Amino acid sequence: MNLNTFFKRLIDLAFYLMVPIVVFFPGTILYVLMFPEQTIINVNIPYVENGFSGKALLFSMGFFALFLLFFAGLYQMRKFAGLLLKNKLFSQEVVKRTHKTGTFFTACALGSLIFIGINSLFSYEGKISVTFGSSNFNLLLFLLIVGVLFLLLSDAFKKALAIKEENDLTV
Amino acid sequence: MPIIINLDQVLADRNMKSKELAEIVGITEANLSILKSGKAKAVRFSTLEAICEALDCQPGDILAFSSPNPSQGGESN
Repeated sequence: MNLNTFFKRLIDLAFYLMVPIVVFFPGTILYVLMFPEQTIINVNIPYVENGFSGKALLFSMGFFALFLLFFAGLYQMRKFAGLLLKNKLFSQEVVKRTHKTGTFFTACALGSLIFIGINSLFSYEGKISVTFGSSNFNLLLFLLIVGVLFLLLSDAFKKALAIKEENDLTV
Repeated sequence: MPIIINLDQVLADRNMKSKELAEIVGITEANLSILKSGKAKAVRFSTLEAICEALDCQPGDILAFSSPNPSQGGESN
């Protein structure tokens, strides 16, 4: 198994593991909203101490929107991995996919950083917690780096494509 | 593109076919077609030299410059 195949399979795995979340998340929130007294589903989100209030709904919607951005980025990355597997490295399609991946990841990371910033302002109770090792903040920063890297890669592929075209049309 | 390729005309003058020239020069017919149609972005000196040698002509017989803006001068065909 070469590296391209390994890359594609890894992304496929991550993608298919996320599909149930995308499909079931809105339904689960709707169920909790419709039946506030239910005890089957324990929604692990903040602001649900006094029932599923507007604040909790806003949090879930924001969380889901950001997750969708990440999912869209992963979808574009999966398409990019497919193109790599087909050996179509220098094509307009690769430039487009890497640009979209970068845009989605960057938007998701920036949005999430703002989101957790606002969320920590609302939930501040006079205590500051410090996480050692890989915290949410670190991971989001890493996602931002990956997003920007993909945007740079897209630019590099665009330049490479132009050079390749010129080389192909040199007699 | 303001560079015009007159290869067809030179070939007709010499009574030579594209296939023949491609064989002598050592390039593919597809590449020669790219050159003839004006789609080529660059021509290697080695290719130009081989073409001139095969057709017994000067680079100026094959290539011509035509300015897109006539006020700037240049030869127009």
